[in-house]
Amino acid sequence: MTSQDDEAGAAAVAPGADAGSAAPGARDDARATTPAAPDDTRQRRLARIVTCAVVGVIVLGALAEVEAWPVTAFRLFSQVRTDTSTSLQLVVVHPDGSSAPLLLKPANDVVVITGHQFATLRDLPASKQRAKVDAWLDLAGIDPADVASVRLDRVTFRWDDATGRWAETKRTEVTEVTP
Amino acid sequence: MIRGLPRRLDARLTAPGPAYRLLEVQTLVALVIALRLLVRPWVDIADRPPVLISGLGVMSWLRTTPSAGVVVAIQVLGLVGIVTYLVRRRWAHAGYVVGWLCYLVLAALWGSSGKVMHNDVLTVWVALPLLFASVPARDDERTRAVRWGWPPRASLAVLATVYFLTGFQKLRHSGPRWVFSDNMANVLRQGASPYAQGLSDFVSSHVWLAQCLAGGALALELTAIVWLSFRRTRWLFAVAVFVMHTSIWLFLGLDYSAWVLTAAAVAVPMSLPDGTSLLDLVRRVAGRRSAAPATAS
Repeated sequence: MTSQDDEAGAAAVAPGADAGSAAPGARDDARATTPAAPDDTRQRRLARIVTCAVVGVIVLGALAEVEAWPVTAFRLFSQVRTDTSTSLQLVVVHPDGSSAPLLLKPANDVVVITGHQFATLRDLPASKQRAKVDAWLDLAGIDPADVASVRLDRVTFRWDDATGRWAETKRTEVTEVTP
Repeated sequence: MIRGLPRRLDARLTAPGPAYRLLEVQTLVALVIALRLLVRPWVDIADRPPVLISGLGVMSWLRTTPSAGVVVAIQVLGLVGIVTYLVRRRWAHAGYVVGWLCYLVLAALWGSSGKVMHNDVLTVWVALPLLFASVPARDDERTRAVRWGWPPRASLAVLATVYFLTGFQKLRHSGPRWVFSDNMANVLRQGASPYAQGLSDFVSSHVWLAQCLAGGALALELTAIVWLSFRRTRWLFAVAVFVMHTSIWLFLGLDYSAWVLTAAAVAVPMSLPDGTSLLDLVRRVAGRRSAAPATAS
């Protein structure tokens, strides 16, 4: 937010230059050869309002941890990751008792990201749970008629230095939904 | 020194500036928006059922999924807006506003899946102050005025603020452990690199190397305001940002190209000395290139 690009002053001084300013960042102002443009005061006011408002909203949003896009807390990888991690996984249970993880379309980011809503599934009313699970089954290309239930598991992994892989150490059922 | 700081900042923000600098920054930011509108598969939004719309944002009022046709129409309208701005005859300002609005709508819809998406948020914010800038007429390109000076500086301030906050939040929530623990090694282990898995494995298996990466990234973010305050270091910031986001892309497959392009769109023109336009620089470099073989022969 500086005006160092204004320093050399090689460009022509136009009617926009404000000779009345004594500001240190406005060295070219002193070199102005023409009177101040009538809209300079208005432009300065606009500059202050726009810059303070935009920067202010961004800073306040981050400090208050607001997530109302595009206002965001700007938390990009801000939490320390340890050698233990947990994730939530939807598991389809078939009528014969067999089960398999429900995988969303990997080519569609918008669909894959909906997997972040698994975290709130347990706290939803039953009808809403069913509606969401039906939608995920549909996106995964699974007919609800072939499904006995859908389980939400919390899976804990631990990094194993010996194998160089994440190893599942614990699996807990969070909730179960019948489509 | 501190007491006079607001006054000095205000003076630097509102000093007259050359019209060509505003045009350069606004044009490059407009091109970033156009590129995002063009290459992102926005039509994927239409595949998300309404029941899976989640999260708070500017498009939260829309609780239904727009059809693929509507998404494409917004995309095309945004591109038409940017082209109208680039042609710079009639309706140039309106074209920029329309392009930005369409981009805002699509990015907000994209991010309504239950997770905050940051890929386009920097571009949206940096482009915002430029909405309030008048578009200089062709005859005005070499003139200086307050109205041409402040908009690119405001965008620069937004750029610096956002990068600083990304670093600040790491310190706020994790402290020095963000750098001096096996945090970055675990980030790399949890991610999957589609481009350089071997390199990612190598770095994560050498914790000190991962700590250097983390330290470099955090230092860059926390010092963004310093880099961008001085004309001569602004282009270096753009280069450093390119290196950081490219390494993230290589190691984790996460696409932050919009951040790289936006940082370059603002920081590179603003790093040029007064009297030198970006076009002058390009001509000079091109001239040197074409002169080199002639001299050699």
